[in-house]
Amino acid sequence: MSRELGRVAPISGEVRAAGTAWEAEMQRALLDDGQARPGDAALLDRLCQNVGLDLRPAPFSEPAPSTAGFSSSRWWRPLIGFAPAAAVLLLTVGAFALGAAASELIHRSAPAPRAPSVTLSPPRGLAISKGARPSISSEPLPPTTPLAPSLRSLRPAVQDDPEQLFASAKRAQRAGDTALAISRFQRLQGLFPQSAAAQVSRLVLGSLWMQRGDPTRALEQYQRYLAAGGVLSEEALSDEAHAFRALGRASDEARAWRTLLSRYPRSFYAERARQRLSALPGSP
Amino acid sequence: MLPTSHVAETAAGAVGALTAPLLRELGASVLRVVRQVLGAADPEVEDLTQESLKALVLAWPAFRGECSPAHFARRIAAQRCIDHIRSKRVRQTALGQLALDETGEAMPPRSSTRLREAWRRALADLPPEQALSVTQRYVLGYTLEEIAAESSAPLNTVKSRLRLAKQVLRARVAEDPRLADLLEAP
Repeated sequence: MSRELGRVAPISGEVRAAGTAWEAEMQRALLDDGQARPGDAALLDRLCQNVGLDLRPAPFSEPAPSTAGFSSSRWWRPLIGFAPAAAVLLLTVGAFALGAAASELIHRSAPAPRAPSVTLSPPRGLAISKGARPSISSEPLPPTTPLAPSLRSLRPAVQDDPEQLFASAKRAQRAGDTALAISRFQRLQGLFPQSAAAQVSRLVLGSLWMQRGDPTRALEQYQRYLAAGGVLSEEALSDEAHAFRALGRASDEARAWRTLLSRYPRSFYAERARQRLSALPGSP
Repeated sequence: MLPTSHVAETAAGAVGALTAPLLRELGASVLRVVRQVLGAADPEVEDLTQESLKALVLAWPAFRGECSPAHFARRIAAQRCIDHIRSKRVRQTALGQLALDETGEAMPPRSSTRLREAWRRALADLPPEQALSVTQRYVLGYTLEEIAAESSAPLNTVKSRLRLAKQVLRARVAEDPRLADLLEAP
């Protein structure tokens, strides 16, 4: 038996009688998001094509059987897994043999087994200045200093976490240190440009530039946020419109407000957008 | 695009192979659900839609035609999105965005964005069965009876799950002082 579920009355038009105001508004927000958009057809074509490709068996997962005796018997295949271990073993044996040969050489030249240093005769044909005495010390070498910590100390920023950077920038902002906050947000965006924290920071940094009277830089931040998209696009569009207004670009401001109204007709900013559009010259 | 009747015809007849045109047709339903649950502006909508479509293809052999293919696809997409929201990564993102609220300089007093964030935080916190029930109710538009049939649970259990889920949702809305007027409204 086939039954069609989810056939209750759509909530987008009429609020459910049983629901409270916050429930109804939340459902409306969710339903608004589900509306079809321009470009959906191409997007779905691409995604379906990707799914089709992803589900195919991976090519070259099994090599074609060969007919030659060595390959067809495949007796060597289980040994492949031991190849790295065999290589290590060979290297170890080789190093051990070399070490033993060197040790034998040293013991031949050194009369006392416990001598702290031994003197080697210079090879024939090599002129060594008087007083230069090549020696091999048998004392243990001082412990080596690991290289990694010193390298890490040269680039401490790489260790930072984007969320930590975001939080530290917010702390600076709350403390009233706008310059430090800006610097940390910029660092966050530079180090982790693809992170969610960096994306959110574009709106905050934009507002900081606006506070500092630099709408050009603010606009750059808002537009970068909008280019990548995110859950705060509504806010970004509104902020972009404000930045255009601060720059005196009336036609761009009107375009931003119209975009906001078309994408988010129920937006909190919709009333403000309509007011500005009616006040701007040349807008309907 | 196939005519909308194509899906219904497929459901009414024998369950056949999931052909490319049918997958494409069901993709629209999947995309809609993903946008509803995640938020249309979420940058991961595409990825989740593709993952849901992949899950649909894999689950198709288990489809017995007891409901429409569109419903089957929507249910898979809703479940996939809930799993995604409940993942640690997305939760951290939501918490990171919450940090923005502390000073409130870039946020409006009240907006659908805030409600969507409350929704996401609630889904991340709810037990899986409650998260699924409230998604079926709010996003897929199921009746209580449909949710009970779908989850093979007694009607009273479903009512209880929804009641508890709504408490969490309400708490998340209440966390945001700028949504307080919504809670005061009848």
